[in-house]
Amino acid sequence: MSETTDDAIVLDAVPYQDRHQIVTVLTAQHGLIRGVLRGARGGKHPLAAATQLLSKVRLTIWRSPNAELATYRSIELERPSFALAETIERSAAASAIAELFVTFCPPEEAAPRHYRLANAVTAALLEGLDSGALVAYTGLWILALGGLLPELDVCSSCGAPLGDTFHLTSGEAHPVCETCAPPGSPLVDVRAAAFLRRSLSTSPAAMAAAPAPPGAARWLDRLIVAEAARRLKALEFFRKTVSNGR
Amino acid sequence: MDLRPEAVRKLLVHLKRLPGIGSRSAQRLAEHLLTCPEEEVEALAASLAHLRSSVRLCSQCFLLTAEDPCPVCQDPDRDRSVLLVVEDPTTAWSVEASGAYHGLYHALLGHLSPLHGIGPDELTIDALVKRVASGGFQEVILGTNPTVEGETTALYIARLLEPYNVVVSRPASGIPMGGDLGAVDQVTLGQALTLRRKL
Repeated sequence: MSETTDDAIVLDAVPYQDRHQIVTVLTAQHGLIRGVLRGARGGKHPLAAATQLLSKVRLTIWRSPNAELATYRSIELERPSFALAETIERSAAASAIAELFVTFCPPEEAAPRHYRLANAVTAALLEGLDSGALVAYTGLWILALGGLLPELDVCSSCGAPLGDTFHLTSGEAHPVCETCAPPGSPLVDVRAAAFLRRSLSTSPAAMAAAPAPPGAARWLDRLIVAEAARRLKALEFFRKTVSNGR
Repeated sequence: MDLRPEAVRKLLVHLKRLPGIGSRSAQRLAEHLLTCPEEEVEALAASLAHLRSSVRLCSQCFLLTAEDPCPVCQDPDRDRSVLLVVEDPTTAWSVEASGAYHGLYHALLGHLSPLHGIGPDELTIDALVKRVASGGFQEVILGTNPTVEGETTALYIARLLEPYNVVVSRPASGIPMGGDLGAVDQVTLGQALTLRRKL
């Protein structure tokens, strides 16, 4: 990559040296990028507002061959994200959503569908729609885009069509029909199964008009943690925050 | 051939690890230390050696202090009905320099950052809630940074303090004094206009 300009969603920003930040962004055309934004540290600088979690920005990105990090030569704030800090649930959801993209989005590969997902989910979160439904929606689509989401319409064991509800295999938590279900296997109920299936063909704003059924969120969390093969701390913090707020 | 004596090379390595010090600044500092009066160098070395052993965190407010409790916590003239919560202990130094605050402090030692594994247990939030629960405070000012994570930390603490009979507030935010409206970023400007005051 030489110099290029792209839209991006900010996923993370950490201090680098005295005055700079290393900012991780999901770009519209170039996928997940980590780069240095010089002079971004410290609240006095106008750039500081642009590197907040899930801000939408327009970046000029430059990378020299073999460099580990890109350099952001300019950054313009297109959509601020400070409204996410109006409630603790929304803010915790923003961290959980960013963590999902950082964990599952392949670095340095064009990922326009991931970008469109991040953009739409962030817009819905800023509108104040249900944060739990948006985290679940993001988790579902992140798995789907990575080819990690099991079929929701056919039994993963015998291939028979699944009904309004489905059971889960004990290890991988894949959907199975009643006949193939191991004894005592968890059941994904009608509401949860409908939410999951409808999310694959509906916009995040439409899905987040109401809370996600607990069964859907539980199943997705289980799949996500299994695929990530590590604890997702922001997701855990979000679940804890939501349950404390009730 | 590198003509620098080993002692100078070692010093440069250590100086370059300091924030804001690059190769050229390190060399300038080394040159200064080699040419200034020897007593100055000895005094600097002694203060560096003494720094870590003499400075600790106050067991009550978590400010940096040489004595525990710190002078602020011990001072009978401070306003004990107001508590200012800051992320970093050094922020209290700037607040004190302003001369506008006379209450007590509580340093969180960071902010919530779930993405980086920093949750409530990694901060001094429990100690803060215990201080407030023990009574005496009428107002708690949540002076975390005006970032999304700083705001999240403030909201989280505000929720924990709901059961106690205290006013919870945030410092005002907006245009810096002596600033130029045209040079202020759009978020700060928007915030300043939203929170405008009547003259």
